[in-house]
Amino acid sequence: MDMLNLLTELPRADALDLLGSAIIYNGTHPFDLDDAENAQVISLIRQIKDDLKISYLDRTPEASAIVSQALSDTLDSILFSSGDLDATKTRMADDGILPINGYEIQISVTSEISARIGYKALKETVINPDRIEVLVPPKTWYEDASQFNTVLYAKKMERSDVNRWIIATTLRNDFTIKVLGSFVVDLKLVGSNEYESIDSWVMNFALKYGIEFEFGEFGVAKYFHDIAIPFETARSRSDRLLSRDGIVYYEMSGHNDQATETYILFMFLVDKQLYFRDLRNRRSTKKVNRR
Amino acid sequence: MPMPAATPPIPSALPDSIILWSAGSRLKYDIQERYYGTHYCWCSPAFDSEALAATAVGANMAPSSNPITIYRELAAAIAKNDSHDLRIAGFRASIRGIAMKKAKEGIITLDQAKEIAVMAKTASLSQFKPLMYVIPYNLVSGRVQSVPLKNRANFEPEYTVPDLHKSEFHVIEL
Repeated sequence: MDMLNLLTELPRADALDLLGSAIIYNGTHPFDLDDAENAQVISLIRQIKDDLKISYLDRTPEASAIVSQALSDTLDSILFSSGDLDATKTRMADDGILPINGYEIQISVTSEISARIGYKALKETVINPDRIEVLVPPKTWYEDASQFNTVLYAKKMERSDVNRWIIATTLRNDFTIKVLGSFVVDLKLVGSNEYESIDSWVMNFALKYGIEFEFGEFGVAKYFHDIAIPFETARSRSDRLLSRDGIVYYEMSGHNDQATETYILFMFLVDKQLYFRDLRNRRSTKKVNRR
Repeated sequence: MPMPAATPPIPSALPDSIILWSAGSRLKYDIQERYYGTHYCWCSPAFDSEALAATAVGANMAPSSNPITIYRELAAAIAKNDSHDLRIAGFRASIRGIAMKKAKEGIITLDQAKEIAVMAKTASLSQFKPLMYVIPYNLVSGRVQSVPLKNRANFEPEYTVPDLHKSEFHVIEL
């Protein structure tokens, strides 16, 4: 009798409980099982090891990992009946607690600055960031301010260099995370340091390389003060914004009738010539210094 | 199947002034905070057993139970982007296993157990960023339990606190 057959003879709740105990026992958790439970758990693990052609006495981390994986896979097959997994993910996405790997990541950035970073590096920035910050929209927009979905991700370009970071800004929507904008910031060049927040980096970057700032429908302003401050809002079509070679933060509305409306927190255009020249110069300076 | 019987507390086994240390992950912290309301910690009176005098409490802690070793191994796995790291794979499994026990006990619903299972399975490496729990012993001394010898890495005493409240510890990143 294989493992699954053994478990299907039990009520579902008992099978899940037994699998939970077996996972814990197989790991290094200090639960002291009573004798009756111990016998069931040991019997189950012995059965799994037989199925996997692993010696029962093999307690190496590798063997334990294989057994854990088999137990976890079986647990999933019993826990999630047909359609159950999707329903759970939908509920979690609605609550904003679905892990990032549960989303489909869409890199839809068209600007030259973003394109130079590369698809793989951008995806890695979102999946395994070194830093994450959430742009909280003005509380007046929502009764529940936790319903935000615009996030800043930052990842070091090299582990040994604390100054050069990739920053990506994303929008979460159902099971999709869209990378809207991204750029490389050299903290030394913009007068920041690694202990400041990502929004401070963005602000300093914009102050140095931004040539035009737009705040909502009231036209153009040259400076902004704080990302978290509620700027005036405007409505626009996202495809028009994305076609511009700038960095755009906006929030998809969830509280009014037209859910496709876009609220611009702020945006700025980048002086590309100055930005690329500085990045090039910084790279060549580093090479000289290493010699 | 009931939750395993707790080992009797050991209120006077350690000096009141001692700190207990426990290395965990961000994901585990978030799940415990969100779903269980309390934190289960396997802890040690030594932050780094190798830095202690040979006669000190916790000085002979095995590396696999030494809080700073666990912390460093987790941090290294994340820095190297090692998605096959065995410790992280073990965390993914044990988070699911514990959720099943909590559901059976009625602490969480089956729907919540499913959410935890999805979290454990799909969490990115960065969600396993290590955290160090810093637990003043005098706040929890009545609830500290001794790990049975058969479950320890070696003969050195190890402890658990099954129901830490947020006000009873700090978490730090090193």
